[in-house]
Amino acid sequence: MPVEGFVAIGAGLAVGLAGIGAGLGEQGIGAAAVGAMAEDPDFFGRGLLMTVIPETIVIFGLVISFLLMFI
Amino acid sequence: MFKPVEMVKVSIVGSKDNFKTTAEVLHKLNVMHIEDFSEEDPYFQLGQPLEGASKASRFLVTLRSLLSYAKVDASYEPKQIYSVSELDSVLEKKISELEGKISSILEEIRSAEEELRRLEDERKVLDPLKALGLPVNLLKGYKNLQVFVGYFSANPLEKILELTKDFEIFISEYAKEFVGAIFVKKDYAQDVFKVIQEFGYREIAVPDFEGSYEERISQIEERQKVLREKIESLRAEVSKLEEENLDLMLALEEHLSIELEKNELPLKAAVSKFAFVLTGYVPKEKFDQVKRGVQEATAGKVVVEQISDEKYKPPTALKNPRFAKPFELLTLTYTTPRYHEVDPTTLMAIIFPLMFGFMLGDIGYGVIILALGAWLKTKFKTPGWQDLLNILIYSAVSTIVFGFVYGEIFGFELFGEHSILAELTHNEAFKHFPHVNRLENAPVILVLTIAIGILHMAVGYIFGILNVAKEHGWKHAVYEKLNWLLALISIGFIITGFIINQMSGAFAFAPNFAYYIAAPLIIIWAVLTVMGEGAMFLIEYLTLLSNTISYARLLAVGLASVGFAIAFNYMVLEMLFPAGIVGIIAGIIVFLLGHFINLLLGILDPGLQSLRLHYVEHFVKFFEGGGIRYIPFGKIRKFTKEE
Repeated sequence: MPVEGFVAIGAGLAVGLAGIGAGLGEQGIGAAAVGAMAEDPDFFGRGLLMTVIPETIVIFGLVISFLLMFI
Repeated sequence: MFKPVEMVKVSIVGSKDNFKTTAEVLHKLNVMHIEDFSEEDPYFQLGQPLEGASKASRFLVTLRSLLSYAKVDASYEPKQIYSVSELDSVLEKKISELEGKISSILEEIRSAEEELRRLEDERKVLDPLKALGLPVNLLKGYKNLQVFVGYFSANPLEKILELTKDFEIFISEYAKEFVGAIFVKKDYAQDVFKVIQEFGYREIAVPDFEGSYEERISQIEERQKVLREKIESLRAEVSKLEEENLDLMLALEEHLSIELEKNELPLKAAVSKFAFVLTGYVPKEKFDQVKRGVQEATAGKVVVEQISDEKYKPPTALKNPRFAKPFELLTLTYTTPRYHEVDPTTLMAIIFPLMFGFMLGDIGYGVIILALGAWLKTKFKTPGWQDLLNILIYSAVSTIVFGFVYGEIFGFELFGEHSILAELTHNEAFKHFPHVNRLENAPVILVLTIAIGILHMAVGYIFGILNVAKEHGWKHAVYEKLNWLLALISIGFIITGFIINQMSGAFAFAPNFAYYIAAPLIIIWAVLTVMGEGAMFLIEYLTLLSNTISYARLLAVGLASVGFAIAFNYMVLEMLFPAGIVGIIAGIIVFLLGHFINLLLGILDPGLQSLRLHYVEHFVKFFEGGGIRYIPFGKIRKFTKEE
């Protein structure tokens, strides 16, 4: 049975869905961080840090898609 | 490197009449970070500002309000530098002269604007009154009659008739509403007012003038024009005056703020009836200079001593080699390191550009970013921008180097199977030039990024061990940081074991030597963590795992950028091959636009991701921050000079 196509679809879904998840996570944090930064510009460093925390989820998706595609 | 400038705590004690001289000397030396005095007692209290302070601050308020009209940015270079004695002799005269000139003009502008506003208000009511059609002199000035002039939402005639017949109403439509005038005997005024309020009555203030409405309107419009011209010419006059006197004003501002700072120094000192005490921190190597300076100026009547007490909280002045200085901006954006903490700036100055280059890695983009950075450096002169652009330039150089490693230029292959160099020069040698093709070797690079991550975080934990050991002792360092370093190493071995099994085709978790090394490490880590931080913290192992995998972005961002570039190049080649002038033009446009977008992303994304790897993965392992920034008492003169 030709599975390569399904593997590619799976890899795409892994990255794409993880991206949506990370985006949903980041939207609230990002909005709050910008608000906090408007109050106190010194918050920039910590704000950036908190905003990008959910981003790792995409990397998980990416690693999974790599494992699917290459191994 | 790794440590801030070494500070010593000093106290300066002397009689009060020497305070002014001491302040002068300290300000000139510009090295002492003065600590606020906060614990008053019956003998020592907070000092009062010296006598010059109130005068200086009064002048400063005036001067700054005048300067607020002039637009001066931080990179402004004065044409003339004034000496302090020169300024002192003309101070009062010049400031009152400038104030007299400028504020009288500003006053004129204000009154002209005021009149303009009044005229505008009047102009607004003239149209509705004109629509009503009654001459303005009939609308007011009656003894026994009350006149209501204004807007109505509907005609109130019927309702008023229910009250009285002794009234007269004129009403006409105006802009979807009614405008009207009701003349009624004063006796009924109250009741009528209540009624018309129900009809949405809004009063119109009837203006005073003679003649017809048309005349008045043209009169107003003429006057408005005159006033607007006047305001404009006055504004030009102010900016001309400001421009002529800008250097002088800036010099005065600087001189006065320095005077004010010196005169307000007692606010940070402990002062008794006859003596004063100042405490603060001085870089160790500058201590002798301060001691000698103060004691010479006061003939030994003020004593400068190095002290050590339990409240030793020195400020942090970062000390890094010159090449790493720009990166202090990034460290300080995160937080100011505490005095005893490891300062990660120098390490970051090496790793940050490497990560940037690792991700972007393209000769073409690198050269463009390098040129862009060099050009912007001549445009934006403020220190913050200069630092940022220097970081960009380092990153660009590293991008070019990695471009050669990957053999990429604008997404084309420079070396290898599809080498454009080989095609252009017909030299087969370029196909075999040593390089690493990112797309073909992605799995290997993925493993490499994880390894980089483990090393990077391990350095973070080593810094963490040093920090904790210094502040709380080695026992804490072992319980809080060393255990996590072991956990990190165990993760490294687990991943190694996984890879070995993958390569040999065995079951992923089939035991091999790497797993055997990882197991005892995990046990030691678990025991230490439970003893030190509590069982809850065992879950953090997963966080560490996700931190490790997070470094895969080093590959991911790069591949995305290569993918973009290849896609655009493919589109362009498709357009070029059927040839034709239209194809060529369209091809060039797509090429430029595509690579422009990719370049923008290429600056932003690797920069942010590299920063994130430092902030989120690296810094949290050791960096607590919240230190006090070293701000020496003093100022570098720019617009003035001392003899």
